[in-house]
Amino acid sequence: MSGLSEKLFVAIEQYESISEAIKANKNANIRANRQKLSISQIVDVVLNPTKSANKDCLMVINQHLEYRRLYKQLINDSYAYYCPKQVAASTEETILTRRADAFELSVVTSDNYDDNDIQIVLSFDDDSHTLRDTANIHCFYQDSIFPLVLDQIAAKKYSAIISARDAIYMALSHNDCEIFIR
Amino acid sequence: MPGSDASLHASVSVSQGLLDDVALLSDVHLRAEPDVKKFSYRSTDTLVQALVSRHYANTCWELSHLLWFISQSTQTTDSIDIHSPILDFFWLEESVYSTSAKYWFMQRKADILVPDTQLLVKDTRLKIKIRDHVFELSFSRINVLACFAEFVVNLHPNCITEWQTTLWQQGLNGIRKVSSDMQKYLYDYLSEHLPPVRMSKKYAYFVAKASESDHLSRERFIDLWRGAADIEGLARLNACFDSCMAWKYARDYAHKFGETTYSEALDEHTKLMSENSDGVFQGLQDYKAQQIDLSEFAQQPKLLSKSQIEKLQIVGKFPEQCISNAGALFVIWVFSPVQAVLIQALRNKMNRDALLDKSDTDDSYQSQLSFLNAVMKLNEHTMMACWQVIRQCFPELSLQAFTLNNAWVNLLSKAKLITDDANTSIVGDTAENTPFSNITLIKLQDLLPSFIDSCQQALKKNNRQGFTELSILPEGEGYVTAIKGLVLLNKLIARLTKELHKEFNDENAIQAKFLADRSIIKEELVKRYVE
Repeated sequence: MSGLSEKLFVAIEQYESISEAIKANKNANIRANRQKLSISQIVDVVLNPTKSANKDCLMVINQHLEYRRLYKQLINDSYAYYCPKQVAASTEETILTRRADAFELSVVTSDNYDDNDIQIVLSFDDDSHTLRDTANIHCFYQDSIFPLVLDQIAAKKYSAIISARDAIYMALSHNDCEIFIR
Repeated sequence: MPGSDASLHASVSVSQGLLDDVALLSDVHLRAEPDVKKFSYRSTDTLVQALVSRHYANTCWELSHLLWFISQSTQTTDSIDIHSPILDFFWLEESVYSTSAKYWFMQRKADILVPDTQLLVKDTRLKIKIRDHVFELSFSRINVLACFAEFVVNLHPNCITEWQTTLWQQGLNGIRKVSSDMQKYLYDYLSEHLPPVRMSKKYAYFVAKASESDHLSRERFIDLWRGAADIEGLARLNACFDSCMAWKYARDYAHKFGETTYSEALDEHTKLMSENSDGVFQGLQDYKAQQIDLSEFAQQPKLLSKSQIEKLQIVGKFPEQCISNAGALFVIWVFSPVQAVLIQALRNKMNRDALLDKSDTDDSYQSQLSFLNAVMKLNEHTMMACWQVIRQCFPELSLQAFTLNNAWVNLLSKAKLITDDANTSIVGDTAENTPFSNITLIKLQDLLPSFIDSCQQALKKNNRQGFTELSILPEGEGYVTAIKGLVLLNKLIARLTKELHKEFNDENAIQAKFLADRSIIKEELVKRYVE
């Protein structure tokens, strides 16, 4: 009962500017339902996507289009390498290789590992990225962001081992996936 | 009272629902030093104060200069291509404290594409010169500005790109546009965010009071009003009256409407409200029309604005209260909106003083001053007109009655009693140092006829559109002769209010609201007309 009278009260109070009031209430509700993130937090996720504290943030980002857009814009602006969606699909049999301007990303299934384990190898053509110990891959696939950290194994080469059941593998092996690397 | 301001604003930020958005800012830590907060307490507090008092124009202006400076800066060792220097400054490098910001600027060189432009990084500040426009920005402001930038970007994530494109290769026009866009975002945010929270608070107040009694008598309403002195939006009599009626109507309507199927009714009603609000409020329109008799005032020439007429009508419903509390009503009804305008103008001026070098008396400072003068004139005019209308509202109070017979005699004598004890004056009462301090209030009675004449003259000059800058008396003599009376009246009212507050036993809340602010008016009046 009180809910209704409160709603009415609010509406009547804004009698003078009805249209604005209704718009305001709508927007206020949308805002209230959204878990808020600060841009600093999103930047932090972009820079350290696999930090444990950032996992919750990434979940929130994945839920909201606005945040995903911002994320993409931020990573685009933070001197990352980019590989667009591909035209052709790969099957499980073929070894997937992504080539972009400055790097090559390949998915290697090897006998040395269990059936489900898959090695991801990233090699850079130039030296600009070789100062870092790790490389971060951000996959944009089906309205979600999947991050992956690769460790350096040799000069200009980075690698990580993932499971075929991981969502990140699904993303990486799909032609619809956009990839940023930084 | 700068000390109490901080706590005041903190509580305001909680009560007005700003807390979530500000807490978001105060939780952020620097990436490089996780123990250090990205924004200091002082910065977030400044942000809250600026938002709550809606006084953020200057900060936006400052911030857009900083953004402009940043967007013109490129890296000297150009190995990596930075797409967005703004992103780099605030979020990647996090140069949000003065030393790191200075370091950031030293590392980069200005890549100036706008002609006649000069950018300088000095010891403690940045200096921007675009043709004739010179702007200096202290590094100590960086944290506050970064806090502002973060807040705005949280509201509008696209801002960074917008700023970048607007400021790129643009001079002062780009800065102006960024500043005004920023102000628009903040304005939209506040107008969308604050009213519902404020109203919920009012609603809670009425619900809490409803348990005491259901019948809304005049005495009970006055009670409600007095009790609500510290609730924003209910301090003024007419606002409280409107809200009270709205609440009563909402409650009755809800009783009638939601008895059987509450949740369905709620859904339907919400839908109805958003689709066809006119229909829903038709009933309210009738209801309001019954409460307020418009014909009473239709006879009068349209001297006052619509809202002022409404105030008059509501005051008219409580003639007895008006007579016994005339001073208080006058203060609340006339002075508080005037004060709001005036104080804002004074704050703007003070802030401008702080921003500009005082010796630097350029045109814009002069224009600011003349604007302030215009505002002052406008306010005096309004005050006098309102005074006149009050008198017309109560024809039984003739001039004679005002000065000799009726309630005013009581009020005057009361005031006189206080005047004898002049040394224990009101906090912040600067009028004590003016030539008027020795004039007893008895002289007000001598001044009153000429004062009222001036009021009438002012009203006659007023056109039907109400009070605009153009309708101000050009001679100004009317004001000068009336001003002594005005100052005295103001003083009288100050004393009366203090006395009334003692009766209300709620001195602190009301004093904070009115007395401090009124002293600013008085000071200004005295400064301009007496000295």
